[in-house]
Amino acid sequence: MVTSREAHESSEASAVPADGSAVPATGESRAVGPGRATQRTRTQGSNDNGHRLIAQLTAEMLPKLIARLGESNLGELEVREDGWRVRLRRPQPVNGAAPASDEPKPARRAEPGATPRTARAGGAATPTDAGTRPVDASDGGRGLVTSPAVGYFLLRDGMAARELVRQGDLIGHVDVLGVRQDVVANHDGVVRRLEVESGQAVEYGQPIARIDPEKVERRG
Amino acid sequence: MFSKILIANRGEIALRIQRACHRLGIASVVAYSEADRDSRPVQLAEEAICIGPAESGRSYLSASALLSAAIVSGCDAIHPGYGFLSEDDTFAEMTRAHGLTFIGPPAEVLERFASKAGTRTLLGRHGLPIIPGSPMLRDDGHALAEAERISYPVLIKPSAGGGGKGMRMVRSPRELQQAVTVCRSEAQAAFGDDSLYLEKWIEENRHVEVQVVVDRYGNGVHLGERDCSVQRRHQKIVEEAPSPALDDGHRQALAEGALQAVVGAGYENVGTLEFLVDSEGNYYFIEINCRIQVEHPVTEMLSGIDLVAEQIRIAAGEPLGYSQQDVVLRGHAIEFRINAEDTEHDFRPQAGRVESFLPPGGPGVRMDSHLYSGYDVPPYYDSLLGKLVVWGEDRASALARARCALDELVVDGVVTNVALHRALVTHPTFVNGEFTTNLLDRVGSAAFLAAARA
Repeated sequence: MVTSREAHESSEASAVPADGSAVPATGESRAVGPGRATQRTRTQGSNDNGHRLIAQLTAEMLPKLIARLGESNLGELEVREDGWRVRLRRPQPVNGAAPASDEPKPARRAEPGATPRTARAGGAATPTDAGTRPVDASDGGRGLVTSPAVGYFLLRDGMAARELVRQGDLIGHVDVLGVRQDVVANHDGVVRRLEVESGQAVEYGQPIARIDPEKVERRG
Repeated sequence: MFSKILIANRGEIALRIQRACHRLGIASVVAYSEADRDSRPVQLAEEAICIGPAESGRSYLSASALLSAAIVSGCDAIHPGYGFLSEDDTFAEMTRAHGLTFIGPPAEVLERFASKAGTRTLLGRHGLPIIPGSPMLRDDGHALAEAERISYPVLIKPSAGGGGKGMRMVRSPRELQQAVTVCRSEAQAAFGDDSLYLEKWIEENRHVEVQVVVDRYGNGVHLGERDCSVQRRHQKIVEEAPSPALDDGHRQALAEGALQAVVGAGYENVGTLEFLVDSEGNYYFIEINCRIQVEHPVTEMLSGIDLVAEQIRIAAGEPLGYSQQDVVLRGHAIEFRINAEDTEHDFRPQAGRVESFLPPGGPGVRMDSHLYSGYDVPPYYDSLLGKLVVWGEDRASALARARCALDELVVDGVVTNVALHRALVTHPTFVNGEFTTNLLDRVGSAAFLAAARA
């Protein structure tokens, strides 16, 4: 069973070989800023083929299927292709989940100017502003967490400035056509500032949060 | 009409689309990779959005990044330019599924023309002379029989892919039997598909293509042909119109036949049909390009029709609004592709800082280029730096303008092929309009350049 973590909450996606045979892979995709691969797929066992299929699935097939599902009245959608089966289900309300109104509707096109989210799209992320230039995420001194993709940024529930974070902690997601890409802390520290608001459109490499590593050291 | 268009490409074509949008009063958003942050289209953009890293698989070839960029920036259409996703029916379909318009043929039209073999059969049924060829080869016996029927020499071609892999020209049954085995393994290795077919080999051929414009309602015009016979290893270097190889009778028959066939086959939007022309003036359809082409300015110079604006209008559902009688093709135009490549060293692609860029000017001179002095040519994409297009009342005056313009053009800091163009415009074979597609490869570009310098 291969589960794409990117797709959780907004829609559930799963892919299994159609013959039902076990693939020894637990896929996990997350984004760790521009210094790292946008999508890191981890598998248990070394199934390179599975690896590629997952990457292909998340990049090509899922957005298309989510769009189809979004346009339809169906609750669930399943397709089979090349020995793989992909099933999508509409999001179910989950205990403690953020209210649906906080989420952009997956795979729905935003009407130009209809929502405040479009207000800061594109041009607002001034390319000439040196501050928006992506930096190497491995540069711990800066502690800058940047967007792994172009889409809508969604802050994790409870995440705020002055929060203590550990490397790998989830700061939020970038919603790319209904598929979520994780935005995670690139090292331990304190969130000094959040550069974007939840629901805001972000471009690739746009600063999302600044993490101050020194404070954690002082706190011991 | 659209309110805002996402430009899903880079370089000179991004600039070209930007200009068309501006003229039509449509807002545009430039989608760019990190490597193109300082590019001219981004500098000129009212709005620009970074879609991913330099690697095109994660930027210009990423359907989800481009669609997401279009959605968050409030675009209602996407112009794919050429290359990248411009003929990708899946991308066109995804674009539609997200409620946006793909500026180009609709997904089902792209799908209909996706297979080269299928397209030949389809357009053959609609009256086009197709290059003699075989169906998929079953075995050696079948290959020998088909080659005999087509008559030697024949070209063995893989049904998948392109770029010369798995391709061999053979002149006898013995050569055929040997080459089929080699081609099968090459095709298998390159494309994961070892199916082959045969095509008649035309010894001294010219590459001539017909520009068509067809709206959603089946109204179409052709804008004449372009001759793209100056090639190096199947890469076009110079294009011109009209073709020096065709007389008026052949020219008209070719263009009208091409238009009739594509309209009959249900084509829509701007497109190009490519043909091989043999030394006797017989022409054979080889393939169709369902997009704007690099060399489209040649036709714009002759017709005065803005082809990118036509793409946008047709995709928005507007009727063509004019007919063949309204199309007037006047004079002669030649385009020179200015590439960052080292002609002295096997045309190796070059990158680096353009220290100085001075485009030529004057009547009948057009330079479509994204260069500026101080621009860093990134190493990640194709080597096209721009296109110098000249126009004259006839071929001789166009050539005279070409010589002046090429002399004026300055691109310093990066090695380019400008010297090859300067050699070409004084070479008797080119001046006499007698170039064939294999001339540069047969003579060798290095020998050609050396001869020009002597």
